[in-house]
Amino acid sequence: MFFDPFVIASQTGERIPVQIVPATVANLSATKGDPKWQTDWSSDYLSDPSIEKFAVKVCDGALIGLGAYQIRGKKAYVYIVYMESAPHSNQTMKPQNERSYFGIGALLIAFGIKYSIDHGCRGDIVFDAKTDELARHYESDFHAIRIPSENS
Amino acid sequence: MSIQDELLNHYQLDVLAEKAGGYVAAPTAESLDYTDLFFSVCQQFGIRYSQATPKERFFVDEVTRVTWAIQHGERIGENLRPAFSA
Repeated sequence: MFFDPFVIASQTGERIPVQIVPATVANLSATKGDPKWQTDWSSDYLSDPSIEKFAVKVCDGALIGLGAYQIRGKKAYVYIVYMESAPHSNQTMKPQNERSYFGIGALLIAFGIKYSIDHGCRGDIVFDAKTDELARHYESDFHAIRIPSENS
Repeated sequence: MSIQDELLNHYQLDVLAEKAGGYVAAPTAESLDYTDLFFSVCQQFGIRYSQATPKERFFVDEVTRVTWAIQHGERIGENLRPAFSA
C-alpha cells in the first residue's frame, strides 16, 4: 500500500496528483497576500515551532492547501490544529461551481493519520469539528469517534 | 447527474465545511490540555478508546472529568459531581 495523495479537479472529476511538503516561510506569508486566505498562517499562534505546517502543492508548484499538526501527549496522538484550502478551492470564499478542487480537506486528514503513524502515534489524530453537523459527518464517513472535552 | 453534482455528493465534507466556514476549529490551550489528560488516562488503564466497550469509555470519561476538575481547584461535595454518580 502506498500513500499516493491526490485531489479532484472540480470541472472534470480528474485525479490530480499532489505533493505534501513542509511549508516554507514564503508559503505561510502568501496567506496574507492577494488572494488573502481566511487565516494568517504566519500568526504567532501557528508559528509555534512545535506545530508542523505542511503545504499541498500541485505539479506546477501552486499551493492549494495548508495543514498544521502537533504531536501531543508524549507521542500519544497528533492534533490537527488547523487546515485550510487555498482561496480558489476554499468552500467559504468561492461558490461551489467556481471551486478548483475537491477533496483537500479529506486529503489533509489522511495525511494527518500518516503523520501520526510516522511519528509513533499509531495513527491517532484529534481535531475539533467546526460544527456539530461536521462532527456527525466525520463520525459517519470517516469513522471518527467523539472524545470528551472540557465542556462535555 | 452532472460531474459536479456527483463530486458534491462524494465530497460532502467540502459542502458541509462551506456551511461551517472551515473544516476544523483551532483548539484552545485548555482543550489541548484536556485531550492530553484524556490520552494519559487511556494509557494509564491500557484502554484503546476507539475499540473500548461503552463501560470502558464511561470509565475513562469519568476519570478524566473528575481529575481535570480537581486539578483546576474544584472540590467534590462543593461544585463537583463525584465520579460514577448521577
